[in-house]
Amino acid sequence: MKRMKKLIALLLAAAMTLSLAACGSGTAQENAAPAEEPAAKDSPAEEASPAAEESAAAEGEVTTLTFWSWLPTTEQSEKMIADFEAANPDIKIDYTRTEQSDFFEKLQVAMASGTGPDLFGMTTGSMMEQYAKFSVDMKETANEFWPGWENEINANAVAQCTTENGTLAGMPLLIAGMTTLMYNKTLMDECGIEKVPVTYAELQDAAKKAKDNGYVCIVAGAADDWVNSDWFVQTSNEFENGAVYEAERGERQWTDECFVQTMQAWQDLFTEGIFEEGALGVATYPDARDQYFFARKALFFLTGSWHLGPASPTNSEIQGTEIGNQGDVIGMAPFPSMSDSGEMLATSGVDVMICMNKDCEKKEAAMRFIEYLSNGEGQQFWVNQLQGSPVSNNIAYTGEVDGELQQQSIDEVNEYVKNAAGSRKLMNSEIEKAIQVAMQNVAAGADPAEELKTVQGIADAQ
Amino acid sequence: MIKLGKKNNWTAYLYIAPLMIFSFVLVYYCIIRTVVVSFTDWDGMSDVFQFIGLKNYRKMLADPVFWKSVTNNIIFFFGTVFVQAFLGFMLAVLLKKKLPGSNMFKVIYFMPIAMATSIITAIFKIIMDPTNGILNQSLRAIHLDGLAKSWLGDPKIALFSVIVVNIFQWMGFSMITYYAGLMSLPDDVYEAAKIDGAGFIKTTWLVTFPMLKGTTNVLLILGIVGSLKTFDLVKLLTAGGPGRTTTVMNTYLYEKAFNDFNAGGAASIGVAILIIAMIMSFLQIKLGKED
Repeated sequence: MKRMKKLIALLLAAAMTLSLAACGSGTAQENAAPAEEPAAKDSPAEEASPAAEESAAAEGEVTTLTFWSWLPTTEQSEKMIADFEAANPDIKIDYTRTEQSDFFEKLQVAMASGTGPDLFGMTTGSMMEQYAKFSVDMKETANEFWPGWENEINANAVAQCTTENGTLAGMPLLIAGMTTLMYNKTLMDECGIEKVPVTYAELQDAAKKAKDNGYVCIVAGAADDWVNSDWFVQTSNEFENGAVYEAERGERQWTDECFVQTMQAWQDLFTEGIFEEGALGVATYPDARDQYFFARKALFFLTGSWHLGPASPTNSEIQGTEIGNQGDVIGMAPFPSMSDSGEMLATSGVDVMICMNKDCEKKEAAMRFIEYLSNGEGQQFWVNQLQGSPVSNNIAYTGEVDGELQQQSIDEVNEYVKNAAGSRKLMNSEIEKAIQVAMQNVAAGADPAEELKTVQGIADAQ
Repeated sequence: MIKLGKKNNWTAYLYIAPLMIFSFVLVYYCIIRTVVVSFTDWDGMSDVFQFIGLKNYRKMLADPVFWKSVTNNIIFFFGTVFVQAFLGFMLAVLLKKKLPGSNMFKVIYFMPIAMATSIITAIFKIIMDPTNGILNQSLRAIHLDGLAKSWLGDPKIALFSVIVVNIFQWMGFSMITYYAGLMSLPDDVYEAAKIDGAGFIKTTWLVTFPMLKGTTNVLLILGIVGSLKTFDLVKLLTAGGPGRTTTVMNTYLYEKAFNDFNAGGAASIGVAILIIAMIMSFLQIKLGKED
């Protein structure tokens, strides 16, 4: 009996050890190539991999590329990837889509453990700076596999994808501008609002009329940090063009008058009933969009140029929603000027870029997919979906215009974004976070000047 | 008593080996690794880092956001643990009365524990929406407009709202724990109390509650650890905002690790949480024993 117990214990321990080993070995094998130290990756031996790849293709083998991003959307990806694979039968795209809010956590863990994808979506700014060390220098790789690419892709967009030390971290895919208002023309007519406000006084008037008719004027997802700081960067340019970028570089103080005025304007949007009550507790997606604007409870929705799609009544996003069911006429226009000058200045930036993992061994195939997304049919499809403005110099919107205000909205927003004052995002994540916290405090009633002193304090401590 | 001879020792070790190995790999190794990382400037991704001594701890102790998060954790602890325990105790006492439908109520009160936090937070975000939420709409419908608030967006009450949701989620656990304790109490004590003329309230507070001291201690220890572990509820309801009003230590740790790419700083907060949890649990156990 004792022997039996010992034997069972031994077997159990052995089984557990083996199962652990089995779990580990899979990962080890998967990681074997990436784990071969960075020095080896840059070696000439690695450079020979495209040749091996070509021979594999010649033998009819299919190269699989893993691609993680939040864009394209699931619906878009089905068509885009199917079309690419049809045109490139030797390449298979294994796409994993994650909501942007969760995407970077997933990517960070994968990168840290050496199990990242071949290609991944990225934003410009501080995120790009962090992930650049895991990405190939896109300039070198594109020069090798896509000669002449620099003539095809918007130079400003390329500049935004370049790190502080001059590395092109990825290829830009779409450009988006901030800040815009999606508007419901049907409800505006019902409230007696003749046109989309362009000044703060007109906005106040619209808010009064909306309230009198039981509607929210602007629904804003002010619980989201990103939308708040985007608004701050954009609006501060209307008070003093370029000041925000100078302050980020440490060339001026965050307590300067233009920033105080921006913060004051932000506070007014809350205290004067222009934003919905309790906007600080409402997220942009899905709350503000679905529960207010699409539910026909708000006249305007604070968003960016990437959201032009609903200006088309056949857009899939509004099908089944209250505004879709009622057949409301939807459009998009620039956010009203908050300064006395009445100048409306957008910010723009690369909304999404694509990076190639340093460990990717299928660079030629990966570059073909990058070219498809940034300058090929994929880019055209995306632009026609009104997901953003093109980064390709050869591509423009060629989709059908079926909304009453669609063409007007496209023209107005494109013009607004084209004349943008500067970049939509700040590069310094700590300063950006400090501004976001200050904005929420100001929205809740804190003194703008005092909150900006805190921001300056954080800048000084760096 | 069974005595293990020397030659049988290895068998005992063999029996506990699987558990020890699992514990070490999944728990103790992670703790040791976190402590090591807290002395580095690791960004959480690359394999390059330097040891920087106590710099992360010095920065953490001088960081007002860290102290704000500690304060919020303390408020969260007092706001949840005692209220949860009290409500759970009262419900357990009432349910033991075998009133009509008590089994159904037991299931209803316990149900939130079986629900994912993400579902609970999604539902409460809809309920607490300032304009469309049923809570404010109900208040307005009965002309209590002044009580309709921005439950998650008002810095003065956002933490309170998070606490309420946490109580909703975990009150059933306190209830079922107390209920199990109540079932083990001898009936003769109650009969004696009845003969002595004790009514329902006196019996509850002077007989039942003292006899369930062990259960209360367990709930307090679990509550301490649970409140220090709080992350998902806050992250999904308010993400620590507005401003920093609902930031707790774990959401701040997360922010350091995933937004600021400061794994060293995040690890130092993790170590602080571990130390606080150990001290509080130790004190609770010690005080519980003394009682």
